[in-house]
Amino acid sequence: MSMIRTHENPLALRAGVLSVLVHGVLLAVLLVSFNWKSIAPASVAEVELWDKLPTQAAAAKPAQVPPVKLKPVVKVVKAPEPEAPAELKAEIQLKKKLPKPAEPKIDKTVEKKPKKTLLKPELDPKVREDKVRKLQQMLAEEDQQDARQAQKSAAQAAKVAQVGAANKAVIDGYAEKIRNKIRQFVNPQLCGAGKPEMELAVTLIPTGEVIGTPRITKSSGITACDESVERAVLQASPLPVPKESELFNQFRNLKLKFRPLD
Amino acid sequence: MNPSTINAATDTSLLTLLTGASLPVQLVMAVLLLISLTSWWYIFIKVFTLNDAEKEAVDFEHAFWSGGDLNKLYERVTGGRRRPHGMSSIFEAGFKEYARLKRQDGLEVSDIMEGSRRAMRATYNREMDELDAHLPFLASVGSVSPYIGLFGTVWGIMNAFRGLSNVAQATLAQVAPGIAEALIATAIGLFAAIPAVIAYNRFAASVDRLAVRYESFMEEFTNILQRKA
Repeated sequence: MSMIRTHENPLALRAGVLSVLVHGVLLAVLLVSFNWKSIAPASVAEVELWDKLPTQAAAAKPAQVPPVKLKPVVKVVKAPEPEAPAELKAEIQLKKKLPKPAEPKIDKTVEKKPKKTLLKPELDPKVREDKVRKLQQMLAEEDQQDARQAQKSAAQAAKVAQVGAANKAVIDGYAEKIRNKIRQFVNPQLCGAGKPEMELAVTLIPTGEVIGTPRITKSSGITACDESVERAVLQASPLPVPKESELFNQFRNLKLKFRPLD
Repeated sequence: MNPSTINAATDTSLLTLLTGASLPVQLVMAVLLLISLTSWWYIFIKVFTLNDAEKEAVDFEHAFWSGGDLNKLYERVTGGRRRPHGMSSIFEAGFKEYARLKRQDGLEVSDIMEGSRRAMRATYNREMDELDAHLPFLASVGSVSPYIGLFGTVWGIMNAFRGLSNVAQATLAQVAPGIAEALIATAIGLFAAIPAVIAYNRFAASVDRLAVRYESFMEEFTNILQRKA
């Protein structure tokens, strides 16, 4: 069986060329459109990046804050003692790490004194005394600065603690809101008398919706009550959660103590 | 965050979709491409031949009804370089048979008419066969190639999901490339089928119109011959 009839022979070549041409044009159109499409998945991947950003930002923040606050401290210490900047710098760094810098200071006095006596053994006792006093003064100054610095860092810590406390207050507030919302849907009759307490594990998404079914990690002892709370969690979805992604991370896998009869 | 997933997402160019597919899917795509090329080849051949036949019919009808001598027309038709085709070949067969039978003595008019009519009918059938050529192929392509493409897609998706069974947590990124690869097969199948169906319907209509034209010409020419006889 031949592909074409005899009278079609003169047309075969022309038709074949046109056919290949049609496919070539279509392939070109397809390629162009696919190039255009290949940009879209990249932006989809960006969304994936966003998902991981909050934890990274949280990790980066504490690392970024100290250098800014440390700079002025370094300058203040540098000014009165221009003699041994390298040594000083090292000491400052040590001090930063250690909240109690008493030990390294003693080391320094011990270290410096013999050095000076060694260098200038012919120095008369008065001058020597003077020098020692000067040194002591310097040390006292340093001490003061240390104290100031310690105060500063303490204030800083207090601030951080305050922010943390504020965050904690916000988180607790949301947890309480969540409890209240769930409580609305619990049938108190199923939980009987007494004060049943249970622990829930709920997976949430940023909109506050509950993913999957809530798990009772610690039962109240009353099966009907547990089940009622489980249902209540699902009914209460979406739960109130903070909008800030950093705060929300605390709620992603929420573990909640819950007293249905409060 | 994960650079490999980003690469996988951005690397969905047509070429990777074609080369990344499994062997059965690639075979399906190759078969479909061949079918598509052939069907477009036939489509163009058909467009040319049917246009030619229509033009020939118009020209011949014009010459036939302009009221010239039938003998002269016959000479002109047979005298050309090419073997007559279409309506002129029907005329040629009928007129030749009529002239031949007319020369024989002792034949009834009805016999002469019958003979020339039979000759015209035979030529008509041959012409119709030529006009109908390749149309069954286009019809088959139109109805079957979507299924071939679908077969490739089903196979590809099966593979995509089978690969997924080893993964604890399935993400869209793991299935999407496989499904995209698989869907290419359906796309090619549809690309082969849609023009074939459209062409088939168009050509079938054209052939029907030509057939009606040929048949009415046969009837009218029979009447003319009968008047002459």
